Amino acid sequence: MNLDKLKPTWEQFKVIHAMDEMDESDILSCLEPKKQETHFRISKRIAQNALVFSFLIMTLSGGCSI
Amino acid sequence: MESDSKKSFVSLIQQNQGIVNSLCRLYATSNEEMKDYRQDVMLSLWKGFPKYREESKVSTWIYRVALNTLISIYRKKKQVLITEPFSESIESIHFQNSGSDDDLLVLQQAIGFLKPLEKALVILYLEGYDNKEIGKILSISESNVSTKLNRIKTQLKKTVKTLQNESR
Repeated sequence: MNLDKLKPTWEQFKVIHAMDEMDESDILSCLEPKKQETHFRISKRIAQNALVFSFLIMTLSGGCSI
Repeated sequence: MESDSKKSFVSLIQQNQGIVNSLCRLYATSNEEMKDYRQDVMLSLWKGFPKYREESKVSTWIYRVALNTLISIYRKKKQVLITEPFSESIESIHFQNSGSDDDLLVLQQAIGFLKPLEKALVILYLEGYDNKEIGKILSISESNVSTKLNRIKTQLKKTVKTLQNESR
């Protein structure tokens, strides 16, 4: 198949999808939510680790009695 | 500083949103997925923006980052490609264009059958990049590009024939 025949169609395809315009706030909003999500994930992981750590301290703080 | 950087990033995206939207559309299977992909692509572009030093054309940088992001999303998802979900975008194209709907349908459906890397190869070929440039953008060898493109052409020929037979 001669792919070159599809070149003008690809150009047209791009023009059509350039019409689906994003303004400044749309673009900026694309950058923000995932940042917050990452922060949330990090805080969640810290909290989980702190819980595990405190559990280990509580159970193992008696030390080893021989 | 960051606000200046954001401003120039926004204007760069606005000038090239046809590329970003078209790529996400060709990889997505629904409008929702298209929006998710667009957000992922934007984030990748934003992360890479400080390193972009205008050594290559803006569009080449966008193609490289966007296509590699979309391919890696697909690898993670391990989705099976189907053509049906393209109907949403096809409807909108029909609505906006009356001239060469058939060609647009063929383009979308035929490319829809391809694997993520193959799609990227075809898109870059249609964009006018030579095999060497395509290899650089997708981090594969020039000979690999040439072999794969030949295989894709044969595959597309079959797909287009099938699509044409189905439409009759």
